[in-house]
Amino acid sequence: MCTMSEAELGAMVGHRFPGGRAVVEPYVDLLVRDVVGAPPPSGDGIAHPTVAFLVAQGGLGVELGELFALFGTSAADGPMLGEWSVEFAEPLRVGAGYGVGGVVEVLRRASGARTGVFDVVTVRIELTGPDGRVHVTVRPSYVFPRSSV
Amino acid sequence: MNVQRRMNIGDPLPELVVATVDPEKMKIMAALLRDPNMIHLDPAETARFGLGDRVVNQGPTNLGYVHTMLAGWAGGEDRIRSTALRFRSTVLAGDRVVAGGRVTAIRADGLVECEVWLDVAGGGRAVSGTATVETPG
Repeated sequence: MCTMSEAELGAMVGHRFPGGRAVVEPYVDLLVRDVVGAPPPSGDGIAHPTVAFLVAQGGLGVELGELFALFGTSAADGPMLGEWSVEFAEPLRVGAGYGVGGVVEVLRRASGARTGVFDVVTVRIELTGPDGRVHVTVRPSYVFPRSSV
Repeated sequence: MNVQRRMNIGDPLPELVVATVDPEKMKIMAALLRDPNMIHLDPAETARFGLGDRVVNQGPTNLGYVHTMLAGWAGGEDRIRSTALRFRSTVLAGDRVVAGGRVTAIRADGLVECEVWLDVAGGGRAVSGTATVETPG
């Protein structure tokens, strides 16, 4: 149940996650390919693009449940992934290590006749390569239903 | 031969068909994501949210089908420059889904812009969005 006011939630914009480092593990690339109907790794060292989602989330420095809790909700409240985007300055490479940093970029409260009140939180997560440049930018937007608001 | 010259705005992208969304794959993705949401694992939990009696496919898997379709058309995963996708409705265990798209712009810098989607057979559009890829080769 959410007890955070709209103002309290708005103050979360700019919140930085601990971040850390993440390695694109070969087994993760292989399993993701199996799940999403992609061919097995070709040996060129390029990870499936969807692996960016896992590397970004995994390197954020908080578990998904902790992220939900930060915004006063939990898995039991039915949070959803509303949108997701990725920009590749360089392809994601299997075996490579990336610095991961994330910040709350956008937060808005909305309502619909069918859905009731909900909050949309967009997080910008950057994967920085060994050369110090941002190779991948990921933006998940989470939808948090607010039945108590 | 220059592939770009054969491409036209409005051209459809080759579809990727997933004949049956497998709940066993959801378990793999849940573990990879460390996702505590039980609607991907327990039909009773799905029913509690009024979503029917089948488990719900993870959003990352749905966008993954679109990425796989794009990479197959473009000639490699490294040719995908960006995607922006919106999740519009759920995909459930047992659904037949089709990832598709069409060319919307052919840029002078060699990049191609596309509208992309994931449709549930007999249902609605589960995912929609845009993608930018290098000229398929």
